[in-house]
Amino acid sequence: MDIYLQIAWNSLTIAALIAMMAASFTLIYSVTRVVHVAHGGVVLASGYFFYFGWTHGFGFVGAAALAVILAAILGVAINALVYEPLRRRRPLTGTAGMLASVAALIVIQNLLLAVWSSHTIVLHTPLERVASWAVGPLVVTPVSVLILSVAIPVFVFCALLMRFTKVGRAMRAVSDHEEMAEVVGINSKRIRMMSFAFFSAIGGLAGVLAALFYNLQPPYAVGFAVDAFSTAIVGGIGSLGGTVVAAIFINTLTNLGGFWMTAGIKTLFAFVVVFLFLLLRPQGIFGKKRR
Amino acid sequence: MQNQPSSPPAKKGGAGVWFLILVLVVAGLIYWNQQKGGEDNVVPTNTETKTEIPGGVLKLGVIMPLSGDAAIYGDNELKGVQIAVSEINAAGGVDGAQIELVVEDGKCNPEGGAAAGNKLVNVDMVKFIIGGACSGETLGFTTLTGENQVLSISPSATSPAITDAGAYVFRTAPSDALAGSIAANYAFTDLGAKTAAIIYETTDYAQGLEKTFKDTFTALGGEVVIDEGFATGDKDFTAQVLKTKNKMPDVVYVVPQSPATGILVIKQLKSTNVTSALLTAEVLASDTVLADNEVFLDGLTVIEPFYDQTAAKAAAFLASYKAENADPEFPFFAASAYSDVYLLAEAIEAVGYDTTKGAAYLTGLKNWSGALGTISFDANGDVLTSYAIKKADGGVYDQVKVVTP
Repeated sequence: MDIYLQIAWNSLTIAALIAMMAASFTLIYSVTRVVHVAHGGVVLASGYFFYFGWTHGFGFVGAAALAVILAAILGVAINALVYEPLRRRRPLTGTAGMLASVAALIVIQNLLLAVWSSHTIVLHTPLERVASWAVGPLVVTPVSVLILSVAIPVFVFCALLMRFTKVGRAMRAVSDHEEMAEVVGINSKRIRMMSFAFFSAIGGLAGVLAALFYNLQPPYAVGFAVDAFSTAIVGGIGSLGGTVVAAIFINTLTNLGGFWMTAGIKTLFAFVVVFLFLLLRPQGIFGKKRR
Repeated sequence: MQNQPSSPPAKKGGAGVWFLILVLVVAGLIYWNQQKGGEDNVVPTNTETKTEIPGGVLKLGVIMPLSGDAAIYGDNELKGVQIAVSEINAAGGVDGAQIELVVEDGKCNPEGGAAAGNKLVNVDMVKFIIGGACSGETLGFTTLTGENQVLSISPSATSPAITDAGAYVFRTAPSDALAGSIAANYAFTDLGAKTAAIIYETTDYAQGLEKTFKDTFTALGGEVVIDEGFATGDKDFTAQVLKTKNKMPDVVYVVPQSPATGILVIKQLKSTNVTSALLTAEVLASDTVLADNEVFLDGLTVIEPFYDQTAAKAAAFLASYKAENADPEFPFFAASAYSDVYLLAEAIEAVGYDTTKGAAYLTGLKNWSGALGTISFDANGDVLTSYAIKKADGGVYDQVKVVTP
């Protein structure tokens, strides 16, 4: 029984990490209608920015802050340089935006390769010297505690922001009907820029945590994008709560599958789940049914 | 979109002409190549004399991982090769011919090895190759090189499968048929382990070790309770680690393809409080890797081919390596690659630019003395060596013992 408690804890940790990437991805989509797969690149780049800050004397918190700020700038830059020019030609829906985004993802991944080479970078922070804690039968690592204690406030904050603040309401207005939002005096271009800045920062925060958890390697950019995209699909595109539930659901299932069967094929379970959802419930867990 | 109607006729005509030109050029090239091949074939039929090195320049192919995590091997080995080449060239070359290197990235995987081999054999027309560094990479090109009678010698590919890879494939690193069983013997006899877990990367090299370890450990009377693989590029090993922790075996045998993944697996094992003895292969047996990751790797036992760095030729090579570069992470691999150039040069000087005679020469080579110590090849092109068992203690590897199979 103890082992299942540990599986639940591990799944929750990874779910929290992936949900941060997926939630920021899905909220960007809901406001701007761009399938922003380059978000995976932004997340990973943030990890590298953190590594840069950490090895250049910014300190732990300083390096994390630097990474988050640079991630936000990168997100805004992608929006300004890739999506907005395309938007000027025609509304950015469907595959055009996604194709441009895939291109941006590849560019980011190759830039990371060019600057930091293809070697795995192992981050040596004071965290690695902190021993794991035994909480009853559970082994709790410092990184997993850090991930959960960052992720939970982030989700609460996102939910409150979208529901109760003026910016959040404006974002939802643009999401619901861009032209109508313009009519009532919302600058939709500015709202798009703000959501890219804000949600890229959240992705950046996930990137810092992922760097501590997984180390750094350029191909992870695609992996993060796939994780975020598939979790968002299962959760229902645009739904914050659905994304969190989906992340927990998928990761518990893959870890259980890995434990019962061979661990090497556990990603297979994740894709079976995504496939079944696309087939049977394309609107996702909490998504609204389209006509 | 708008000029679509007008373009098809023009395109059609253009395409036809271009297609005709293409056919003519290809046909011409094939004809020219056959003519050239025909001329070339006249020379080797003369079996009396030594085949001359064509053009007075000895082209030597090199296949090494130059990108990815395994690039660390390629880096060390390529530097070893370059030192040997500059020494030989400075001393007048091979039979008067200067060595010229053609280096290709084999990416440590079969696809990369095949692409690199294809380029070297079909484009650069090399007859001798140093490489690959990884087993998968090497097995990716050995069929092609065998068919084209290209002789290759690998400094560090250790998979047992390479033993049967053909008559033109040699290596100066020992087969893992031995390393895996020595690890299993050490775990069972010296550590007194009755249960073992194996966590390995699903590559040719690591799977070779996994299989021999499992067979030997089981034959000795031990039990392998966990046998879990992971793919290259995986970043999350929590499931493998958790299964290991659940069984808490006496020993965990970790077999990564490159140091980075090995460190990650061991980091996750340790942070989950797995207290079993940790055993691994030569991949983590690097003093520099240990120095960088002292916290995680402390107490780790490694098994690697024994290599006496203090012997005269080895020490001389390491001195010239360190004079031009940073300390090698894997001195054995660097010295092995260095020796491979000398072996090929010696074979060509003895029997000429002929890979069939060269292969026969190397097979018959006994007690050849070089930077690796004294080595001999067996009939399969494999080399026989002893193994060193070392344990990480406070940031350095202490030699526990040397095992001669």
